[in-house]
Amino acid sequence: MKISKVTLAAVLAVAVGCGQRTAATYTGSSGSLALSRDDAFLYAVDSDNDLLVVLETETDSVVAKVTVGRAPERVAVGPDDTLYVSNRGNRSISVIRRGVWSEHARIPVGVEPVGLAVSADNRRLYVVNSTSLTNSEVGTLTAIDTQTLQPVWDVDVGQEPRGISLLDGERAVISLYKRGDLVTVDLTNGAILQRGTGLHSKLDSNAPNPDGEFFGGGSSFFSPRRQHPRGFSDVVLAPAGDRLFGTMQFNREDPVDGDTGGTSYGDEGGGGEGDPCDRGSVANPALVAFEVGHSRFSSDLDDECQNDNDDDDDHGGGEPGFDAGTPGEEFDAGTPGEEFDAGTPGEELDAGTPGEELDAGTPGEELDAGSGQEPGGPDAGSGGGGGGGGHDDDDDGHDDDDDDDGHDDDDDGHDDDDDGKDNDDDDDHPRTVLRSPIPSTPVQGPVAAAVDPTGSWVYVVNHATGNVAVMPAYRKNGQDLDPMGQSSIREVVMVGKGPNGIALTRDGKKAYVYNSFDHTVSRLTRSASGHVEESLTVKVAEDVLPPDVVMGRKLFFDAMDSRMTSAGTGIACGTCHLEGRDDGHRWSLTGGVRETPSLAGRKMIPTAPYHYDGEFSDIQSFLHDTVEMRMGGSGVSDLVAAQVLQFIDAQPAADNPHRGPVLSDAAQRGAELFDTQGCSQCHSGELFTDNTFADVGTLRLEGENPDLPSRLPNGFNVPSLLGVGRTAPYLHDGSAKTLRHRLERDLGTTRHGDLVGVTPAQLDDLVVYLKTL
Amino acid sequence: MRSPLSIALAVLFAAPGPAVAQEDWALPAGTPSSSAAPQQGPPDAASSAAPQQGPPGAPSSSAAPQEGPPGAPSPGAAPREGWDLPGFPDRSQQPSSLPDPADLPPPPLGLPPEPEERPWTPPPPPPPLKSFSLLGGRTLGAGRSAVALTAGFPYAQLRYARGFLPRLDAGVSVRTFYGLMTEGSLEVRWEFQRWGPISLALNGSAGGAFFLRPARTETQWGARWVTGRRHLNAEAGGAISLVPDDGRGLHPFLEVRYLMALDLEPTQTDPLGGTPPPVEVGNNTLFKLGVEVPLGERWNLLLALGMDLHGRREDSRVFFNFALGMAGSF
Repeated sequence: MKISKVTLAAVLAVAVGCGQRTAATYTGSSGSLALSRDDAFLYAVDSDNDLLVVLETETDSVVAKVTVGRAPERVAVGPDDTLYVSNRGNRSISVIRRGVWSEHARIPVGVEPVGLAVSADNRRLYVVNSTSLTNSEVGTLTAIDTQTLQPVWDVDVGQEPRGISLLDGERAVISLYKRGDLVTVDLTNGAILQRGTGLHSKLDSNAPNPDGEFFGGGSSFFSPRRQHPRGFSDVVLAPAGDRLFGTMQFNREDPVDGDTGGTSYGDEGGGGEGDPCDRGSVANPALVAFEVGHSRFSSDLDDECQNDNDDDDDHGGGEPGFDAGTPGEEFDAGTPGEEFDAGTPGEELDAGTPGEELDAGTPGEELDAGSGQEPGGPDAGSGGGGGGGGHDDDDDGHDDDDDDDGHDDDDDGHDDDDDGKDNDDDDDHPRTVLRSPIPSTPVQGPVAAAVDPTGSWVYVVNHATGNVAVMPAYRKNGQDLDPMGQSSIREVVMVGKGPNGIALTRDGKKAYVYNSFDHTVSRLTRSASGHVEESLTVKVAEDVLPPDVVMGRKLFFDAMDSRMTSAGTGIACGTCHLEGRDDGHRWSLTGGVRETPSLAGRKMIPTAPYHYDGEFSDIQSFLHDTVEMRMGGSGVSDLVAAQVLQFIDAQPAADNPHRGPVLSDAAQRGAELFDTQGCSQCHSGELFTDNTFADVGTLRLEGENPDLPSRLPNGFNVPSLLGVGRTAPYLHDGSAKTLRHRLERDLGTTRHGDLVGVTPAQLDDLVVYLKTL
Repeated sequence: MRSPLSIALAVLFAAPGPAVAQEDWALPAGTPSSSAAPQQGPPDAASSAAPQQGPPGAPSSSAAPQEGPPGAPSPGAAPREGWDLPGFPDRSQQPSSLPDPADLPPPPLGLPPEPEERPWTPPPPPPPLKSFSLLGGRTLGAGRSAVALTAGFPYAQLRYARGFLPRLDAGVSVRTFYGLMTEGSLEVRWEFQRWGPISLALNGSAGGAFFLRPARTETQWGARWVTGRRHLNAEAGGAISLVPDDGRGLHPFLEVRYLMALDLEPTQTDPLGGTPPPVEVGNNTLFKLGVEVPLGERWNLLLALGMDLHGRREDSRVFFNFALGMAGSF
């Protein structure tokens, strides 16, 4: 009998030992929700009410509400069950001890803190700040000692970082929201290990030919599709620690509407219905899988786009460095775990943020590098110089986006991992593009995700469609999935409005979703019929915003409301105006390339006419064009239009580190220059616009999809400068990465103010002032 | 005593010759034969006076009427050249010591006298084939070893077994689902009953399997779905074989086993279906019907068909399999 017991114990020990190990840094929650270590309590942060709400999971009842800082965004739980809440609205982290339902401490951090992670040994709290305290153009990662609650180090990570995931005890990856890629940080010293993963290269496998020509002139049939990852909101680690999932969307860079106008973005398929190849929507929700520990980037984009690649080849497409027509090949350059490649640092600057360019600090270098790219179309980031070369000063329509060239910033799109493998075994991850298996229920706006404790399923929270997509984490097909193989989503579960967080219990039986617009928690369980369903809704807070703003916000971010969008299009206003701001994307529209303008804090209603071209003199015609013609909505009534506009104008401007109670000396000098050099003649008044038109020499008359002078006889509508410090890239076509870049173009001329005789130092002062607006 | 069969055979093959021959046998040894009795013999046999049926041109020195073709040598003619061989005295010169046939009593009527009886023995049966059986219920026998290599679907398998006791075998086996799953196991077989050609045995095996892909990536037609096996597998069951006494002929067998598969990597089959335990057990039933075809004492041809009933929902419910191979003994 003893032997039997020993044998049984040994077998079980081996069994447990051989089973899947869970990474110490794995967490089954994301965004605005988290669970205590024993799943006894659910924590939800409500941004409108500045609350942390504590629910007891056994009774699903609210047991406490803790007032935290302004606009709490995310919550994390440490190994000792201490809670940390990122207060995006007032640059702080709230610390709450379990059982003591009050704010224990508040830690000052950077501007708009969002992502949080606690080390497995509970020694460090890592905070992702949207911008640093000194530069609005670069975000930071701050390490905080959990005992002293003091910062240990702080490192610049890139523009607009959001999510964070700890890979192991020594590395972390941070998602860059606008750029749509990852940055890897060495947590032992705060050094940047790697920027980028090759995602851009992969998406550009359908890029146009080296001359930058598009075929079809806006016709979708022959147009090769280019995509740009945007809105990389979060990154989560699988329990095994071998995979990361990133929630984002792929925005099209090729022409998105027809020559005659009036073509909806989604006429070829809708958000969540299309794909990034040749049939997709203007913006496709995506869940990108990144391999950890191997030099491999995992995505199935190549497979899906293979036919399109062939088309590209027929047209002489393809791009240097890309083998777009190679069946089955995966471009797997770079992974979070990969060391820097040679030459990357220069490309980092190129790919990096405006702030980094400023840090490089050599005016003119950018211009030189940029002009060196003319007129070669996609520059593929090959300039690479420390001054941020690799972008082209806007004339070809390429490479002028916010902070990068959209190509190969850190890799060449090839197998850089030196493992000699084709890496074409791509069946072990779900399809990258989230395509709803239910045509009438699209998915759009993925903002959070969580992998269940067994690593079998990943749950993606879709903010714009108010649902959760459930899909296998390590396969794309199966008898339980779409038999046509077009979707890896097994189930779509409807929840409330504006979901932005999810938490999974460790027993694998319950999931909670926080619906930020409804202030409710949805509990998801498995029904008797074998489907995931919303089995309970708990209201945890009330609306505190004006009713019109509340309704307007729901409409603004709703990709399901038929008034705002069609089922085939499946996009919301917030699909492009991410967080009510901008996505940093340049859209190739009828009449030219246009960068998404930020709407937050701009006071849009009093700034008629609308649009860059100023073609809409009143708000009704503007909404008619945007909602009905582009988004495919049935149309909005005056009341609904008013609600949407109420929300737009109620949005606060993005927090700005340069803004303070008093202007700095440099800002003061810049303010004087702003007046003396004639800037304030057009950018006048409280809103910094006189609502007129001006031709400041920015029309792009050559290159891909040039501006049409006939449509712009008087130039562009003078934009407001409110909050301009966080709206990079600049100009109507997003061709200026930084404010300084913008001004340098006209240095020595009077085209855009009087910049004759303005010194570089004065230019710096002017930029400092502009950032304070 | 002669059997009726031998008698019948004797009648069937009886001919007049033997009687004459018996007379011939009465001649002194070495006496040249010039019998006038009808003769059956080869054409070149010694000449005879008896009417001869032979091929055209056959020599004849007999004075008896001869039936022969036209042109044949006339009786009494000088012997033809070629037959006048030294050592063969001229027949005309030989004293005739034989009685005139006309003086002889008529031959007895009825059956000819039986020839001298010889002992007739049927062909001896072939010795029993010392065949062997690696599958089924018949054990190898003490000291005998065998190895088999089979291929089919879904498995290819290499098996070695040795008889440690007269009715107890043990061995090792490696089977693979062509790389997707590879399992090594220890096997044992105990023949607990033998009724003539029928053998009954209890058998079992235990081993560990390695899968090429993680469980979470597998789906239909994955190694787990096809085989029902997991990381640790234990089988127990029984087998019955029919092995002829002489060891020859087919050795059919039927085997039924229970397979317990311990899954050390269980996955959550359905979303929110609950976290599975660290170890999940799968219960399966395996049927195998096959035949061993002895090709000698050392070689068998193997053919087996199987049906596996899988107990786990995520596996195939029923999976049929087959294998073909060779086994050798030493």
